[in-house]
Amino acid sequence: MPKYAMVIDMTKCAACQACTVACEAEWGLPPGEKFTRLEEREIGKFPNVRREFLLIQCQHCDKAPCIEVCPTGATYKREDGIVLLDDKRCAGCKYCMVACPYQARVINHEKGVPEKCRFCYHRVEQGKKPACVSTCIGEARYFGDLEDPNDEIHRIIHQKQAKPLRGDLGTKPSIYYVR
Amino acid sequence: MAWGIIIAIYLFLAGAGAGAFLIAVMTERSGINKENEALVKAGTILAAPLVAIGTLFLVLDLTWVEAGKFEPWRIFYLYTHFTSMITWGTWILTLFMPVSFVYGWMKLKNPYYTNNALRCAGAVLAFATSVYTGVLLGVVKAVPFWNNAVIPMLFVVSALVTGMATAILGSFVFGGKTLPDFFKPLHTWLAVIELLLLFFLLMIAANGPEAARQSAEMIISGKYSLYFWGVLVFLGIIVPGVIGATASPKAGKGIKALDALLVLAGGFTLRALILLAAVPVTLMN
Repeated sequence: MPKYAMVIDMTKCAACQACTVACEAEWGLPPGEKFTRLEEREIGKFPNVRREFLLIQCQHCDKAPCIEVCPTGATYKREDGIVLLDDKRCAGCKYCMVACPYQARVINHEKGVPEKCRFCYHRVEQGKKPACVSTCIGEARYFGDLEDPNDEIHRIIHQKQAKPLRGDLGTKPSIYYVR
Repeated sequence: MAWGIIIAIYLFLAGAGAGAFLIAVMTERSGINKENEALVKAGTILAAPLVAIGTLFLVLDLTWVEAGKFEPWRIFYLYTHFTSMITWGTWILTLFMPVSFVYGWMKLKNPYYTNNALRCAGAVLAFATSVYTGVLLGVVKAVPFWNNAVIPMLFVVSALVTGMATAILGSFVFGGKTLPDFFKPLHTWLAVIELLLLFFLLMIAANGPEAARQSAEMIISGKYSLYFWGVLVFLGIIVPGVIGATASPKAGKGIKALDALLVLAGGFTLRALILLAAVPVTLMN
């Protein structure tokens, strides 16, 4: 059984947000609903200032707070590590939205459930890469299988010292960041 | 944050209802008589309707309800996952409402009716209601301002304070005139404890991680400072605390009702501030 993971290399990210758009197109999301978002902030003091960017989406945590707080069991983790939501079981309490440190959930106002990135499981099952990965112009995103010892992802994580975002929170995310 | 003013209304009503039941039971245990029977009646019979109205707000906040869908069966899934405080809360509310309603109904017909099993079950469930609403927020690591043990304690104290105010106002409707003797010291002590807990909460937050500091700042000196200092601390705790501590037991209904209304305004402001000042952990550092 594979264990899917992603590396997001912010040093290669051009902040073009093609990933956000590709994701919206792939899933046919209503306007304003984004599964992957770009956060930005200014750091430093004039004249030494720069803008810092960070791509954020569901981290497919191994110890996912959203699964723990979900009162219905609608949110679950597949054996391959992908965290999904069973639309029909969701009671709509929004506890998952409150408990997610990454604020990865957005409400779909048509379906009336809080949704999030699904690691493009339908593409991955066909051996393709998630939409955000294949569209990225700077190859800032890498998608791989941690269970496969020959997968490039091991080398990338090791070489670039990619680390989970806020690993100190103990959620054991499946996305590793280079920053 | 995903939870806003509608959830604050729920937390407030559930707290006031549960607190009213606890205060009524305490009054009954202190010896029920002609003087306090109106209060015992009011406290027990008001609990279930208040919690039920609160629960209605909870339902209104569900995403599928907001989306205009009628799919009530989804509510039943809420009973199934015991790692979630909401599953615990759903069970607690489901049990507390009928138990408190039956006890309140019996008390309404005859204030001297008593049933140990029903009273104990009601009191335990009332306490559980006030505790779980605090733990609900306390376990959320994603919001450092909430992630501590002060929040549940504050919620229990707030439930008792607002419950006492609710029972007092309700007792006037049932023709009550005087309050039980233990109300005066209890009122003062609860006010002192509430102020202390608020101080602990804000001190911990102000010295905590970035997100908690932002929450504390919003409340102490930022956009919610007027509501915090003006409505909660001054009008909601200090003024009624002083009235409660100094007013004679024979004081008129007017002053007691004012005291109770101020306490309720403060209690709602507390719940609203705690929800609205929530800031999720910072990711960009």
